Amino acid sequence: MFEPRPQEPAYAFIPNAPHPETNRYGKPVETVPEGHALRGVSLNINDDSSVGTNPNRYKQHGFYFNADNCIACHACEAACSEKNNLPAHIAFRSVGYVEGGSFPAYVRMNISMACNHCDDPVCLKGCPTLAYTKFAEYGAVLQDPDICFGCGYCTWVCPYNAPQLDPVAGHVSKCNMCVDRLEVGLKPACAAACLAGALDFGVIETTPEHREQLETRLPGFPTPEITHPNIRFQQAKSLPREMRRTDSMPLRYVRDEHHANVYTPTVAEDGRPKQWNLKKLRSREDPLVIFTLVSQAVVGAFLMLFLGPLFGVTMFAHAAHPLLHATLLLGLLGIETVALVLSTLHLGQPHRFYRAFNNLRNSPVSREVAGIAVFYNLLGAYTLFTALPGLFAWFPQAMLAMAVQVSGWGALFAGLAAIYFMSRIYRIPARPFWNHWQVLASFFGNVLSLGALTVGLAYLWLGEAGAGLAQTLSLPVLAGLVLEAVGLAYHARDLTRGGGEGAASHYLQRTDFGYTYWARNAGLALSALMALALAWLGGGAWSWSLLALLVFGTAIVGRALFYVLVVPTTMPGAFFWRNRGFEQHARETGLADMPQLGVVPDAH
Amino acid sequence: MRRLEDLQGEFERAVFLAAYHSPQQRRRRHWALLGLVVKHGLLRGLAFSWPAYVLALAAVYSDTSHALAYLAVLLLAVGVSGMILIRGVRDDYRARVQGRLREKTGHSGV
Repeated sequence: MFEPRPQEPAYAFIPNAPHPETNRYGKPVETVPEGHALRGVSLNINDDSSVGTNPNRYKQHGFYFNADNCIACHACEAACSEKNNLPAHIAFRSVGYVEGGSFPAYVRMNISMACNHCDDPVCLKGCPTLAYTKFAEYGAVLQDPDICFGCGYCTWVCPYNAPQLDPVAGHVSKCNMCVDRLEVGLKPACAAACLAGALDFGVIETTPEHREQLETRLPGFPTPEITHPNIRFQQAKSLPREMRRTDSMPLRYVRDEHHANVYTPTVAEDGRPKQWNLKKLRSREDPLVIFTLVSQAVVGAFLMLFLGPLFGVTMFAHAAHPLLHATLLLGLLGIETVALVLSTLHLGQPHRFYRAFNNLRNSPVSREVAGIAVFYNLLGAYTLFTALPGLFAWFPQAMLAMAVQVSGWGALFAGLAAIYFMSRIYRIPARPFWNHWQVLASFFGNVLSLGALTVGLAYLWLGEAGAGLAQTLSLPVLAGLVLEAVGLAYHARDLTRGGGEGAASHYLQRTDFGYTYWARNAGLALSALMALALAWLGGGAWSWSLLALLVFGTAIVGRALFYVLVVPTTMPGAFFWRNRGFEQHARETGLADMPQLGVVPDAH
Repeated sequence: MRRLEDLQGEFERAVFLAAYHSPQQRRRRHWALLGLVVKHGLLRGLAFSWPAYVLALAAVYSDTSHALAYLAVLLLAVGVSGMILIRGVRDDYRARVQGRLREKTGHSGV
């Protein structure tokens, strides 16, 4: 059990204050009722089997932040880092700020933020390994770094940037509410260390000493509707109508005319020029660019090969071109193998890949991985049965034919399900740029276009296919490209209309990556025109290859843009700290090599 | 299961180490290692990556040019999956076998 210091001051202890039955989201403050099986269980902190004596052990606790008092001394950060023995590049709690007005009426509002131990923790639902648990004790959302395999999905879904991916350790870790201190009635280290009376802690919906407000909104804080966070704010001092960020996010917060405390995120258009920025297309998500595109191409190619004969394209039947058919299937298996290897190496701990199946009930990542794994295995079986029938000469032919059909249809449905769940991964409210049906349209558009192009390349170069095949396969290519283009058009329109972080992403798309964005759009249009021409006139291997080059190139650039453009609903950073722009500058100039600067190593 | 890291006294540690280096404990650790290799190799390796090995069969049945391509992919896949599996075995061995006295022959503790 945690031992309080001999002369621990009174302010370090959590007061025992009256509270309402339910919180403002309608959830009981008491996490489990009297007599529940979860009561009286040890948290086993550091193998200590004793049970804490805190009388409010089974009540939801939360942080209270008084923005009027915070002076950005960073004592809370330091106390947290010291308590949790964190390296310089990881901070469970961080202090950022927004500023407004102009000299001499300049106003700066500091925000100290860690995990909010939400009522509806999206990290818990999204984690494929089940590393997260919401405990009945204090309502704490705790994460086990020993279970985590470092995919970083929780860092995508959390609107508050609470989970921290440590590329050195290869796993995520986060604020643990200092539950060991809570067990003996002490406030978490950060709240106990606060010099200015800005950060406090207690049972949720109780009003701490010297406070008046229990707000859930603050300029720069994402909407509480996503996760129902357990943090309450006070911000009584008047602020300018518009507050700006000092980090590189092109966002500002504008006061709602009808609600004085509500500040809406709005794009901060600063007239930046249109650029290519091709080097910045590279990101730590590069393996995902390859994995998603290759998987979509392979599923699409298999779809063409398997369904083609049913739709009258007899050329795709195994009997028509046995060697070519077998070669193509084996080729698909080979490139999907490489894609899977890349996606596994993207993890912080690749050797724990099998934990991705742990959360099939809730996590789209688990479902996608399961879908791809089933597809890959059934594709392997189908390939084995059709490409190497000599191995099964001893097998009754009727059973072999049935095995071919079962594995083929199974692979088809598993592949399509995997692509669907792949798109669900990106439907994240905390990432508005991704949270649009365009993702689904784009992924299935790529299934059609890339799949048909892959099959066409094999048959036009290695087979004896004529212009007719190019005409036939141009139709799915065209359909895929049109589907993607329609999705992109609606995406751009909805981002602009929706405002906030989504509009900020679109602003970056039109400026920092402006030329690249338009080149991608032009590539898409040109590809569609070319596919239309091939569908009309037919074509040979060379014209098909040119189309494939254009479509694959456009798809790679488009997918890379998809990953680098996202502006999450994270908390505001500072000029140096939690600032993408500064981190990039530090890497370019070598400052990042100094570990004391705390720039996260550029690895995943 | 007793762990070396839990022991504070010099005498206790000396007794522990004497038992730890005994032939019986060595044998038990070897069995545990074998169990981990089987667990990772079959359940977490072959069960997921066997389609890559279909390429090896294809190489056997193909002409030389195709065979080389299949073998190249196969070698890459085997290399990477082997590396991943070895790390898994190593981590589990360190976490569950190394520095502990094993009580049951062949029990990998996993």
